[in-house]
Amino acid sequence: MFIDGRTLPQGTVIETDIAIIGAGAAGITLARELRNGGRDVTLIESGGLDLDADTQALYEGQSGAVEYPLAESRLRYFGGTTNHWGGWCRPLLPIDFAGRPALEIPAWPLTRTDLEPYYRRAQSICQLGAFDFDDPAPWQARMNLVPMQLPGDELTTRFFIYSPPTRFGEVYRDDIVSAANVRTYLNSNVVEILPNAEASRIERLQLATLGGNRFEIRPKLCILATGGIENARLLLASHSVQTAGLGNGSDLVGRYFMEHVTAPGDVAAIALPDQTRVPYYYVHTPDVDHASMRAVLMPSDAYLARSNGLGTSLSIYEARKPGAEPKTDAQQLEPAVIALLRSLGGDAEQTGMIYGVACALEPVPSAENRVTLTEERDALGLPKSRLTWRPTRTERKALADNLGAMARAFGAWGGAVKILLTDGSDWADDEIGWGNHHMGTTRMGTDPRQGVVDANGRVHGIGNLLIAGSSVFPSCGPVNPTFTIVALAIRMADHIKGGSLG
Amino acid sequence: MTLNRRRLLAGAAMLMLWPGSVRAAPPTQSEAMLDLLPDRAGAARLGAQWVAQEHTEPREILESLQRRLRWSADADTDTLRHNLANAIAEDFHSGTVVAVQGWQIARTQAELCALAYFAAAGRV
Ligand SMILES: Cc1cc2nc3c(=O)[nH]c(=O)nc-3n(C[C@H](O)[C@H](O)[C@H](O)COP(=O)(O)OP(=O)(O)OC[C@H]3O[C@@H](n4cnc5c(N)ncnc54)[C@H](O)[C@@H]3O)c2cc1C
Repeated sequence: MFIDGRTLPQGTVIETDIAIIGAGAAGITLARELRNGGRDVTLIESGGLDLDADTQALYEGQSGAVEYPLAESRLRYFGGTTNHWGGWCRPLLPIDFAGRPALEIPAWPLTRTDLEPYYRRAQSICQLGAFDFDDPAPWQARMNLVPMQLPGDELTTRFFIYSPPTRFGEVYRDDIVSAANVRTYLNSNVVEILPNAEASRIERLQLATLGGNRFEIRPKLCILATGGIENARLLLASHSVQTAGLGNGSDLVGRYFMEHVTAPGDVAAIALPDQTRVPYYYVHTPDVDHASMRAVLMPSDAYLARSNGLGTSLSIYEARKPGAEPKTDAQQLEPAVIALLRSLGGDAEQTGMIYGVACALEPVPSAENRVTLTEERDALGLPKSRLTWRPTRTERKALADNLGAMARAFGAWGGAVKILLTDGSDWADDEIGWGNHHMGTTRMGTDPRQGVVDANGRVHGIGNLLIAGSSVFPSCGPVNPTFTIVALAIRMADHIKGGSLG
Repeated sequence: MTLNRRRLLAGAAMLMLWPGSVRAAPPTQSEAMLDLLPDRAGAARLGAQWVAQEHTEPREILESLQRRLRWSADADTDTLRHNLANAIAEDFHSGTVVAVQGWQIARTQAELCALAYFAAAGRV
């Protein structure tokens, strides 16, 4: 059932077993998993069923470092940011959960094996085909694919599978509406989460609508699922009892914000003496058995361990003839490079090929990259967020190193790579792009001094407050977050149903 | 073989005419090496860039290429090409890579390009 919060009598108080704040990938997955169960579920969504400019403006905020589009990189209505996500999916790798102390990347209190069954269930929720992310053999069997056999052990081929992309608010709307035990409050914004005097349990949620209506929800269990920036904002703004913000006893809420740096343009170009070497599925996205798949190159685990490197997803794009788009004098070297590659022989009829390379880079969590509150307030009176994010030198060096590995592999394979990063150790502003992936601001950790939530997403010290979404990721590899968000949400729902989370 | 002998003889003749450059190496060697390049002019453009950044001299380049390509007077083009492939693979394996305007090429490739540049400039 959908209820418009604007139509409720002022001061209404609603009792519920489970309140889920936010109806995006995490919140909708939780509500679906909990539907038709024994407990009463209240799903609270700031927006309506469509984009509304005034509601969306509640996401506006300030940037403390890199100018970051806070309002554009999220969507504030039923379905959340999945209303315009790209659908790139793959699970994190075992190495991503393991942590790398030399780089101060913490381990998860979970392993890939722990999450594996939930990833497999997330597969159908995200409308992906078969669960084949790392092994080319099944793809080979299905469509006769033969991966590039690059020399050396530094790079490996892995696969992304594209969700259609699933618009959670459309695809799962009926499931939510028809579930007898789920009530969804639209146009209803949680403006404060209020605990008891000891801050050991959540008692009430204060809600407000843009029209000025105010009401309250009293949950037995509360799940915060408003996205990787907003989860931190709401906790920090909920400071009536814990003055530093809810769950912020260790000054971790908002800190360790992570994003995947994706340079706005290509980070490298690959020249090859002929057009036939890069298999189609590295450059395009073929549909195979109801799924679209894309091969990428990533540094191998062995190479990452040896080089103390960071995971990077390198996607190859848009083959073109050398010199076809000469933008600068430098590009005029392309035909010469291709010809040079022919010094080893080859088909003289072939004109050679240039490919672009885009990247997504694993970030190093830094306490200085953080969400804080500003003095400025939104239309509901809530302090706006300030996002202070600047990728680190470590990340830039790791990207340069990984591109070097790519150059060695393609060079030994008869090609040549042009690295397009400028020299120097610092990022130039125009080199910094991002994936719209907001992670880490309520990180998971077994020790309350090192994590806001425990391995099950429960806020340390607050028995009935759970957090869902990528804000709990202590690290994130080079991989888009939503598939892991959904897997974690299914796991949380299972634990709730099993009674282990209250 | 005959071709190489002829080149050697030509080299000997050149020695008298152009002692400065031939002191670096007999032209036959450089010709045989340059024959590996399908686009000498393009290679010379790349080579010019690299020489400017590396400040290298024809003699060094030739000596280095002799080693890298396992030059011998009777090596034919196929052998040289085979040796070139090995040298390039070895360079990439060992990380002996140079950057020319961002292009990461094996040092052996860069040296061949430098040779093309010196040849075009009449310095070998
Ligand atoms: C352009 C773009 C492309 C992307 N492409 C990909 C991709 O290819 N692959 C991938 O994995 N990820 C991608 N993402 C990221 C992906 O969209 C997010 O990871 C995902 O939507 C996060 O899910 P969530 O449920 O945590 O948050 P959201 O989906 O953002 O949902 C949060 C919900 O909470 C609601 N809410 C917020 N505040 C309140 C409040 N105070 N009270 C009540 N409700 C509130 C919001 O209205 C929203 O509906 C992309 C993002 C963008 C912007």
